[in-house]
Amino acid sequence: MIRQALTMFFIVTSLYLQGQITGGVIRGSFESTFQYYIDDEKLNINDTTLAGRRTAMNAYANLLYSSNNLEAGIRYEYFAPPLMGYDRRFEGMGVAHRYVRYHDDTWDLTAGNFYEQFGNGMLFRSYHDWALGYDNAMDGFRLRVRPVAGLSFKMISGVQRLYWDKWTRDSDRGILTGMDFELDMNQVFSRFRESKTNVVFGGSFLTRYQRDNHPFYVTPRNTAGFAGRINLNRGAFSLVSEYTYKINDPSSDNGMIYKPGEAIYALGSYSVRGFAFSLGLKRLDNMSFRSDRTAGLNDLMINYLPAINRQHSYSLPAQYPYATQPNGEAGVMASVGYNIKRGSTLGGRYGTQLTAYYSRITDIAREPIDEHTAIGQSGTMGYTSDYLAEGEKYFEDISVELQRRLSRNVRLTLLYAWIHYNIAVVEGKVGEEDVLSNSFVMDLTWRLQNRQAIRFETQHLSTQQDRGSWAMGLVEYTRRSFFATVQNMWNYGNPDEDKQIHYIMVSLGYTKQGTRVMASYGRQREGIICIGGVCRFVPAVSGLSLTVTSTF
Amino acid sequence: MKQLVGFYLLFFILASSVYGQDTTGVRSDQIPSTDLRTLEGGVINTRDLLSDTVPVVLAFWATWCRPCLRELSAIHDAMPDWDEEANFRIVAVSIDDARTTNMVRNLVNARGWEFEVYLDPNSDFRTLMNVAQPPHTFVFYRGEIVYQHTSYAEGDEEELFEVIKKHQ
Repeated sequence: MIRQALTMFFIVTSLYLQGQITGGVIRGSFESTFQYYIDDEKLNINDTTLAGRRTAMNAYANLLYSSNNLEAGIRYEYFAPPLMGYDRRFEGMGVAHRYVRYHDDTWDLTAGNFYEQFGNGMLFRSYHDWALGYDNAMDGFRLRVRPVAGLSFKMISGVQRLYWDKWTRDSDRGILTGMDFELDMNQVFSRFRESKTNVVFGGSFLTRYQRDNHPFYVTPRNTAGFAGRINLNRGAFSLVSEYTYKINDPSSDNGMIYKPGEAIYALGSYSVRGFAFSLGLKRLDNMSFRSDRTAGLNDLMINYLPAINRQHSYSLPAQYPYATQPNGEAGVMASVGYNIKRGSTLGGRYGTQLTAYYSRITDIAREPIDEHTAIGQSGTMGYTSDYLAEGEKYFEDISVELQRRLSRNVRLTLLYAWIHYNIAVVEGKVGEEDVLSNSFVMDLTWRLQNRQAIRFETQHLSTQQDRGSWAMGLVEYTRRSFFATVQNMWNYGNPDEDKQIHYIMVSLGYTKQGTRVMASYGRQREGIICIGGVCRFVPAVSGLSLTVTSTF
Repeated sequence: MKQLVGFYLLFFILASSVYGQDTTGVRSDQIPSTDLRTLEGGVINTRDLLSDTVPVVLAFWATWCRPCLRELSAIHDAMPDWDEEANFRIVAVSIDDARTTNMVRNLVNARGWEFEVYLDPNSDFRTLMNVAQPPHTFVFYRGEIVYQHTSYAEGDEEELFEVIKKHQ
């Protein structure tokens, strides 16, 4: 550790000296969360279940140097041990990310670690989400070229991060190589320059090289995928669409079938000042794509398959999030946003915002390929699928939200959400009934004098399934940079009376410029947090948590 | 424990090297450079955004982040008054990813926001600006960061406007 720190010191010093010469700047950030877990009889937390992990800490320090054309960055990570709910394979510390980059108006070259996305990410997306404990950073090189304004090419090659595992030549982790182009017709061609319609085309190609190491089946050494996209804009209308195709890729995820994968995503919108409407659809068939065909969990995902449902930010409706099912799903969504004008009877003095959201996601329909083969049988083409037929329901939700300023200093938000959640598929709780829930949220903020404010949040979720109904209340007081929150989530409807637990949490925080310090004490309930297709299970814990975040 | 000490030692080294540096004379061409998307699907470079000679407020936000929406709504409500008193530019950068990035235009239009909004769907610019979580707001003046603030509490926009007025 001391040696690593000294190495870092030399890197930093040399970057710093370099900065003095060329006038570049160094910026960085630091984040650390420390938790101390206490015994909790109701949550069954004791010495045995903690197994020596009474304290835990996740932290990183990030440092970035940039000048006119040069950039270099390094991130040091520390998990000793990782907080409850994070993958244990993060345990340890070290330099997790380092790169150098040169860029000018035409060329942009990165060597080392980088994040990148082609189109909507359905073929390739490498990204990082600290809160989720997700990092599939590439290690290799990336070249971006822009010969003329409106036309760009990207080329990438490298391997993905897998916790702290070093990649070696006999590793089962594949090498990714890909290309992407994007053409903005209106910028490149003079005859379209004055056109009222904006058209942007794009296309991507990506291949994974992995050794053929399967004991029974012959697997392709190079598994390639293609994607094409078109974005159209004309006045109030817009259309975003992408189609992705992947050649046969027998994997642990799809049960070693040889069917090619495909994905379609389209979203059409109409929006003017005060009104917006969107209609979207998505269909995935056998689109799991990983750097290692035998990988599972959240490891080594090459592509990103965004969920189409609403992402709730209030805690009770957010307890039933949906996670994309890469082996197959079909979904539609519609949303409306409307701003009722100020001064009208319905709009009130300050105007009222209304939003409504609907989504429905089902499995795709699967038919056997012939009468002798079972659906999804290993070593075969798996199944055939009719585009228009529908499979088992995975998720459906309707939500309506109203936001209104009641007076100069009082603001109200009301939310209603109905959610149908297939817990057996999404959380893998096989045999459990689908959860049908109704949630109400009321969020009221009062602004007081001297930049003080009080916020009340009450939520209720009613359901007959899963853990039954919940009630939640929160009071938050803020005064300039300081805040204090008390909340209680009560699982009063749990069919098991011993589990009708109050999850009480007290938090205090202070913010100064780019630095935030927060302490909380209490119980945290279990649940899953999903961002896109990636989910993390958070176990119930009890204890003290301290977080420091700083950007400098 | 030794490792923990090492970690903080490292942080101390990083921090002291930054605080020790001379930031005077920083120009707009030293802001990290990357591309953002416009709501119409085009591309704009971050250096073109921040090279202005008036104070530029750079606000990182997301459609799913409630404090962000409160902050931007407060700025939207205050803009008619601010415009009378100062020259400035507001740039809101959405870090929504592929799941919600295509819904940003709708939200902006439905709410009638009149400031500039750009998209950072893979958090490239967010990473370069070392933003941990939104909301995180910076004020650039002649290429230098003269103010930054993470999170949002009611009334924080008043402090922001004080900074804008100070840099006219």
